[in-house]
Order: sequence, then C-alpha cells, then structure tokens
Amino acid sequence: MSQDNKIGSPCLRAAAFIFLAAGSLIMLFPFFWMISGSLKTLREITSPKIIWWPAEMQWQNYTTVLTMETNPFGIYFRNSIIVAVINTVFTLLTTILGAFAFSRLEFKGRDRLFNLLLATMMVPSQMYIITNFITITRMNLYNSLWAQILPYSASIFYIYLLRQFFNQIPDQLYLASKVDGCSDWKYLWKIMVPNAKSSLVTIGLFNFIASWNAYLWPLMVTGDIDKRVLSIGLKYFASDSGSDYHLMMAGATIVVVPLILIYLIFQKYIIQGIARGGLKG
Amino acid sequence: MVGQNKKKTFLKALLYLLPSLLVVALFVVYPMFHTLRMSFYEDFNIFSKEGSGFGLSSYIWVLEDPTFHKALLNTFIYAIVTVPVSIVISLFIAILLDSKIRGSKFFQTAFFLPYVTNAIAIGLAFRFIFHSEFGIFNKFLAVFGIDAIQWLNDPDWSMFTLCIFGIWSALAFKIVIFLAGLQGIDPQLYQAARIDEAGRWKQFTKITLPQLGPILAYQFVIATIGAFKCYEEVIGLFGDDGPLHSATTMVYYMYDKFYNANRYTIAAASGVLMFLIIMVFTFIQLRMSNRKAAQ
Amino acid sequence: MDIRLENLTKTFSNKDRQVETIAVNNFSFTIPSGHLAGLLGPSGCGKSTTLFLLAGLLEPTSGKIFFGDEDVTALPPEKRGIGLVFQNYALYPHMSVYDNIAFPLRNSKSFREQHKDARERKSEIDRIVQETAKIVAIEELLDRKPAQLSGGQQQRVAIARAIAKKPKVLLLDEPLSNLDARLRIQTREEIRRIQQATGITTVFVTHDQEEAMSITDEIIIMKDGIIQQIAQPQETYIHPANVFVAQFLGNPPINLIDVSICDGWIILNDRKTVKTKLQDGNYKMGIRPESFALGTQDSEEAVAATVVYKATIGRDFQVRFNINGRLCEALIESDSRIETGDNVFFTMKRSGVHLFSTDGEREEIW
Repeated sequence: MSQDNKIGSPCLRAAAFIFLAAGSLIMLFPFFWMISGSLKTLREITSPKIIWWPAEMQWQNYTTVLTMETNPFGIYFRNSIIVAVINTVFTLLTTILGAFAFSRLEFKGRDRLFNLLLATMMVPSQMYIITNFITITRMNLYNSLWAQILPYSASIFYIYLLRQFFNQIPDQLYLASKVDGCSDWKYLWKIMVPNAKSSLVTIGLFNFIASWNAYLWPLMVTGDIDKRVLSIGLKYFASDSGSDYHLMMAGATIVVVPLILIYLIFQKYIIQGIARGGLKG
Repeated sequence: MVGQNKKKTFLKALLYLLPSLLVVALFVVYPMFHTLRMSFYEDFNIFSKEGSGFGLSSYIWVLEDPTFHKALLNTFIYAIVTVPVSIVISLFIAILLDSKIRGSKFFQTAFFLPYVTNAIAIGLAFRFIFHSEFGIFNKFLAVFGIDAIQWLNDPDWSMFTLCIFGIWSALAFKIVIFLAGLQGIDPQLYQAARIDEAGRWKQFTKITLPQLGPILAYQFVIATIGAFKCYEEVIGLFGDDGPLHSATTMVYYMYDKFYNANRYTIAAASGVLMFLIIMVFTFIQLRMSNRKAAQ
Repeated sequence: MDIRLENLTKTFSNKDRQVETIAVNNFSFTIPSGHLAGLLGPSGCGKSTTLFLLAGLLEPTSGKIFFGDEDVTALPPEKRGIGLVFQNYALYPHMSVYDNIAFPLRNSKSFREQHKDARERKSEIDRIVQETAKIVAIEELLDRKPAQLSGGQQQRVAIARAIAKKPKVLLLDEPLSNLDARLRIQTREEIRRIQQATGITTVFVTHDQEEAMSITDEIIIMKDGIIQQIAQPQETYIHPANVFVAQFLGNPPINLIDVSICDGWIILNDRKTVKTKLQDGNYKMGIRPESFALGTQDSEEAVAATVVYKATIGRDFQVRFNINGRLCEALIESDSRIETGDNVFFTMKRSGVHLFSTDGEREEIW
C-alpha cells in the first residue's frame, strides 16, 4: 500500500513518531530498570538519587541469587526448563495425534465429540484446579514436577488450532499417499507433520511460554524448595528478602531473559500465532 | 476407501485420541463436575470424597462474605478500567504502527515484547518502580514537587497501581490483534473514501471502526474474561492481596479459601460463581455486538 | 493388463435428506491391455467416481472390478498396482521432486522384499527415479520443490510418481484442466507418448471432448452415471449412439431438428429431401454444421432456406437459417457467394446427418 494513504503531512508523521517513541520507552522501561537494578549495589539501589546505570556492574548479584540456600535459583531454573520442555513435548504429541484423528480419520460421532470438547473451553481453568489438586494429591504426585506437567499435557485449544491447519491440507494428498502405499501413521508423520511445521513451532512456543509463566497451579502442588519452578521461587524470594531489590531484580531477570530471547528469535511465529489464532498464553 | 472397516477405523481413532482424551477427561471434564458437586456441600472431605450438608449453604456463605464483596468489587473495577482503556490505547498505537512510520519495525518489537513476559517477574519490577521510598516513579514526581505517594502500601492507591500495571501488560496482545485486523482492511476502501473526499476522522469512523467491528467485539470479550481472572498481577505487584486486602480479586479469594483457609466448598462455590459471572458478561457482550452488527 | 468392470454400481446417500444418488449405474465394459481409454462426460456424470472406484479410493456399492484375471474389488489402493495422477497433482509440497518420485517405491513392501539389501535398494530406487525422470523429461528438476515448478512441470512429476513403481494400470483424473490452453495441447501429446512408451493400460478422465478425441484409443461417454457410448473416438463422432452423444461432441454443436418422415422421405421446410428406409413418423434429426454445403435446386438431398445471419470466421462463413422452425447453423466455405436474405439451397453430407427416435436413440437412415 502506498504511503500517502496513511498519515500524510510531515507534521503529523513527526508527531506519530514521537508518540510511538515515547510509548516504546514506557513499554521497555520496566525491562531496562529491572536489568539495571539487577546490576547495582544495595547502596545504589536504595540511593535517593536516580542512578540510571550502576557505576560498576555487579555480576555477583546473579551468582548470589543462583546459589542461595534459601532460594536456589539454579534449581528453580532447572525445574522450569524440565517442566516446560517435557510439557511441551507431551502437548505437541497429544495435539498432533488428536488433531489428526479429528481432521482425517472418519469415525462415528467425531464432530459431536469435538464440539463437546470445544465447549469445555468456556469454563475458566481456575474452576477446575480445585479438583485437580485433590486428584494430584490422591495420585501421590503432590510436590513433584509431574504434578506440574501432567494436567497441562493436552490442550483442546491447540488441537483445535492444529486441526484447522490439518483441514487445509488437501484431501488429494491423503488419497495420493494411500495409492503410494502409505499408512495413516506414516502419512501423519511423513506428510502432515512436516507440512504443519510452522503451526507446530507456534504451538510449541506458546505452550513453552505458558508453562514457563504458570503460577497458580505450580504454587498449589509444590511444597519443597527443590520442586519449585522460577515463578514460584521468585515469589517466595520476594517475600523473604525484604528490600534486597538488587537481588530481586536479578531473580526477575533470570526469569524474563529466556522469554525475551525466545521472543526475539521467534518473533515472526509468535506474532503470526497471536494474529491467526487469537492465542492467549 | 476399500479395505477399511468401520469398527477398525473407530478403534484406530480411539487410539489416536486416547492420550489427549485421558488428560482432558481427568483434568478438565471430571473436575468441572466435581467442583460443581463440591460447591453444593457445606463441608467436604477431600480424601474420603464425602460431603455433608447438601444445599446452597456455601453459596450463601460466599455471597454474605464481605471479603468476597470486596473481591467482586475490585474485579469489576479492574475490568471496567483496564478493558476500555487498554483497548483505546492499543487501537491508537496499532493505527500508528500501521502507518509505516520510520522505525515502525523496532516499535513493533518494543510494543509486542510485554506479551511474553512473566507477570510475577515484571510485577516485581513494577513494585520496584512504584516503591514509595526509592522507586523511580516517586523520584520522578519529586522533580515536579509532588510528595511521595504510597502506591503500594496505601489501600486507597493500590487498585490504581494495579490498574496501571494491568493496562501495561494487556497492551501487547491487543496491539497485535488490531494490527492484524488493520492490515486486513482492503486499501481500496480508503482510496474510494479519499476520492469521496472523506477526511481522516471520517475515514476512521466510517471505514476503520466498522471494518474492525468483529475484532473489537472479540477483544472486548477476551479482555473482559482475562480481567475477571486477574490474579498473577496482584501477586507480582504486592506479593499478597495488597495492603489490608485492598487489592483482592475473585481468583485470589478462591485460591485463599482453598489453599490457606482449607474451605474447599467455599472455594468451589466461589469458582462456580466466577464462571457464572463470566458467562453472563460474555453473553451480554456478544448480544450487544450482534445487535450492533445487525444495525 | 486389461481392465474389466462387471455391473459396477456406486450410490451415495445423503444422510440429511435421505436421498440416494447413483453416481455409477451398472457399468460393464472392458478396456483392452495397453489401451488409453478416456472417460468423457459433463461434470457430475460420475467419471471421477468411476476412476476412484478403479483406484480403490471408493468402495463400490455392488459389482466387480478385474485387472486381468484378478478380482481387485476388495483390494485396498496400495495393493492394486495402480498409478494415479490427480487433478491438482497432489505432490508432497515439502519433498523434492526426487523424493516425490521415490516415495511410492520406498513405501512398497514388495519392492523392499525384492531388494533386501538397503544399499542395493537405494541404488535401485535411484536408477528408477532417474529413468522415470528421463521418460517424462524432468531430469534437471529433481532437486527442486514442487512450488518451484510450473504447472506443466508439476504435471510431469505427478506422472513420473505414478509410473515409477511400474503400475499395471495408470489412472489420470482431469490431468490437463489446470494448464493453460497451449500447454494443454502439448502435454496431452506428451501423455500419449509416455503411455505408448510404457505400454501401461491407462484410463483418463476429462470433460473436454477435444482432449479425449485427440489421444485416446477409445472413449467411454457418460451422463448421469449411465454409459452412453463406448467406441473409438472417431466412431462416436460419426455414429453417435444417441442424441446426448451427438450433442455433446462437436464444436459448434450439432443442429437438432424435429422432423417427420412421409412416404419414406424426410421432410425439411416442406420439401422432400432425403430418402430413407425408416418407417413414417416423427423423429429428431441431427446435422453437423460443417456438413452443409451450398447447392442448387437440382441438387440431391438439398434443403431450401433463407439466410438470416452471416459472419466470417476465419476461412468459413458462419450462416444461420431456419429449418422446420428451428434456427440452424452452418459453416460454409468462404469462397461461396452468400448474403443475408438470400434464398438458397443447402446440400447435406451423409456422414453428418443422423436420425434419432423421439426418445433419443440412434436410427439408421439408410
């Protein structure tokens, strides 16, 4: 689209630029302030003056936080990675198999079952975690990483999204593969999955991010320090540490930096994912 | 297809569906009914799974609890403030981003970034920024001679601060959706409007808004549902439910009753109430937007 | 390998409305080994259904399909030894041309049993892919992805994939419909060449009569799930079995006139024109536009008419006039002197004149 269709006069364009620049600053400032704070000394952080950047970067804040005995962020980080990775692998598997069955296999009652499952998305997850807590406790999984992984290892929403994509793959491809002697199982993994790569990457990313950021559920099912994930650990650390804001900021940075990296690397997939599916993590 | 029998296909489909159906049945479908059942008891033993005092007593208890009133009121305030404000701001930003201004690629990256971030971690950063003593916001206000405000410790300010944080976090997702919507509008509509000598404001009200209609409705519904579930923002910002429980929300109430107070039936009843409230609001909003569309 | 259908029927039932449509109604015919047969008919006539039944992608409601002496009715598609080329080619988008052609070989159990050694199998696949690529002339495209190919090239890849495993039967579903006009002519000759080079019995579905006429050994003309005529292409044109076939073939279409026979003469515009052995009565008469020529009052079998319209089309005049109250069209060589409003006599070539009973079946005039 040609530029002159949009904001026209140079004056307006300059105003828009300034507004966007100011807005970006507001959006980015908390990140900047968090990172800058994480590298300050206690004296700098509590100083009455505004100190934009520490005189000397205090990297040891990070080592302190990672190896603390009361709140070992190293272990939290490891747990977060384990939970998010295993959970994402499980979710992708269940989603691929489920979406394939709902899009390709013809069986009685398929569409009715699918609509029934879609209807469950109306109910807020907060309502069922109460019972899930009881279930997990009865399964003897309280205070384990599995407790955090299992309940979220299948998602109707992701099945719905992937099914949409699978439905776009022309029927003729399936018929061709049948003539070429391809079983359903092989067709799924050799033809459909490779073609759905970008959808799967998007789903994987969203699931990873959601798992990484999960708070309420992991909080409910973990008691011991060595089973906590980052979100929970950070919360406990914040209530334990009083006004050690430089350390708190280091902890917060450890939680957020992987997310920022994922975002910067996979920006295209994430934006497309939100725009297409209206995903909410 | 030749060589496929129906029974076999059914069994095969069942195998493919088994993993997801197992998880969904156990952790989504069953708990829906179980929580509903629990909510109708006065007391429920989570180990024997037996309840006593079947009836509406838990609902009555919740509805008479002043803390629940507070939670309800706060949740409503939060929704009524953050939803429209964030939608207006994000629409404005999306329109600017769509106008191909120099550097809009960088701006997009900046505005979208908060979508991926952790509410607890960024809540902490906001807690630091709004700290009454050494938070940069008060230092900034001091430049203009404004006295330090207890953003986080004063019950009168806590909801205000929560709303600011809420709006900040909610923008990214909405901007992305609006931007996608704007880019989907046929440019010929604008060209036609220019030929008809429609001004910029007219183009906005006569083309952009109507074309974005369904997306606006979608945003309102999704954002309201999201606002009703507000919880992590509270924890991130205050660590608990704010000074004197001044920033408590429905989800916080539910969690608190379940986990801290062990009042399982009360928590279940409040969860069901929350579901009903969300349903009613979604329904009303959809009805309203449908009527508008019909006009 | 000849293909034989015995009373093949396929019905589709619409669940909601309880309506049954008969897509293929009691087909019995044989396509001789090595022939290229065309299934021709308007859209919705059941020709693609017939092809999918042959492929095993659809299950017949009743009847049998034989490939040679083997009853394949109950065999799944992959066990029938067929190659199938789809209308949209259905190439696997994420695989290179090479992998597309090799895919059926890699899946084939019998191929794996024939070549047990993995390395030998790999080199055998490579040999076949190269050889097949040469037949369809795409050797230089093997590394590309389907999206990087033109429509005609994709089409060749689809054929290569279909013939790589040396099928007994090759099935093509409207293989030319996605190509532009020039490419279509070129490709259909290519298909003929490949078919003759490989000698595979081939069935070719099309709605385009010209396509079917130009390359097939025989045409099976269908309408509403019923076979109208099976014959060599030229035969269907010269001896259409019924009104439908006469009308469906030929461009511009055949003129169809209600006529009556009196005392052994066909009456056209109140004039006895053609002597026939047929009984007196009412008939339908078909005359191909190119079968008219200018004659004189004395000409045999000439019809008198007034020219109501004339236009020049290339080397012909397109002329319109009324016969028995029906507007007819003729293509007349443009060296004739003829103008609108002229009262003239048209003679008719015998090969272009057909008579049908009132219910549409062919009657022999002489």
